[in-house]
Amino acid sequence: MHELPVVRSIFEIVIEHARVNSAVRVVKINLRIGALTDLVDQWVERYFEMLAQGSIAQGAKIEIERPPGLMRCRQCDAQWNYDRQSIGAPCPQCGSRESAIVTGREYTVESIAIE
Amino acid sequence: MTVKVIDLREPILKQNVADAQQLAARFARSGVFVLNLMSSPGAGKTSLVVQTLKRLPAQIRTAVIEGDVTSKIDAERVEAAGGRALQINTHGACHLDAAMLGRAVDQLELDELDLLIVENVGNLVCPAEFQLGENCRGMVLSVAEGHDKPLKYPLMFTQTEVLALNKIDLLPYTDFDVSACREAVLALNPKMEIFELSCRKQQGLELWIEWLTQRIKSAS
Repeated sequence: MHELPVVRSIFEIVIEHARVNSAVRVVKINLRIGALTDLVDQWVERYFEMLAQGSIAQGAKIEIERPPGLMRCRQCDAQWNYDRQSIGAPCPQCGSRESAIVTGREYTVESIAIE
Repeated sequence: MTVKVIDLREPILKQNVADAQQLAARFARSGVFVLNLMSSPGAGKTSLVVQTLKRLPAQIRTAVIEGDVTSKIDAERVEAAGGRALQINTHGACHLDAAMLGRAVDQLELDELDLLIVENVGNLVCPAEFQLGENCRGMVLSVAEGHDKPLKYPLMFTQTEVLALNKIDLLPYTDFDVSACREAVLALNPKMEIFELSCRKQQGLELWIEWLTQRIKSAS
């Protein structure tokens, strides 16, 4: 729902680093956004296209890597995959509810490809 | 032209995180306890704020920042109850961010406050993603919304530490299952403090006030 301010942050990060590296054009942007994060790929692309118009990032391809949800038990160290529906489930190995999120909440601009 | 790949690994919301850290430092310097209150629209955030202001010990100096897409209705309700309120209109944004809150905080004398309640925009999705430099994140869930909310909006329940389960006076008229709700909430967040209350009927507010007063004291 909050794609516009998030995409504006992405755009600012991209432009800042493109300038520092004397880019004439941004070709590609690689994002890493965890499976648990509420961000719709299609809207990220649309808003970016809108914000980047007339800038050196216009036409840049956006690639979004979605790391799956991975949980680790604090008691027995078991690891298992989770999604939105099963995030609160106990450890499948020992039944403990003391668990930590390993992946699934990533929210980073991983890299940019520039010319 | 050669294409060069530059590794960044930068958090997308790094500006908000930096702004939130600055705010947190300001709050700590002034010894003010900041509660970020979140919920879906209509769960009763403003009602809880109003009832809280009425019941807090008089020596706790409090201000309220009301976040809303538009209108000053909530700030006016708080002021009508004798509270000090500032309104932030987000003009469409579905959440408050640290920069918006910072501009409102600039209008307050933080040193003269013990408690600042920030009422976020009514929304169970977005506000959870944006840190505000707060000491505590709380949420309000009303029984009219159904006990399946923790399963539908898990992130909010993992990002908050206190839950006011409001409108318990309506329980006889709903299918809301309090124990199923508690179980679902605690499965997501075993440390969640849960208070069952009704702002309208003024039930169950004493324990909430007691908990909040203790938290404010520990921050000063």
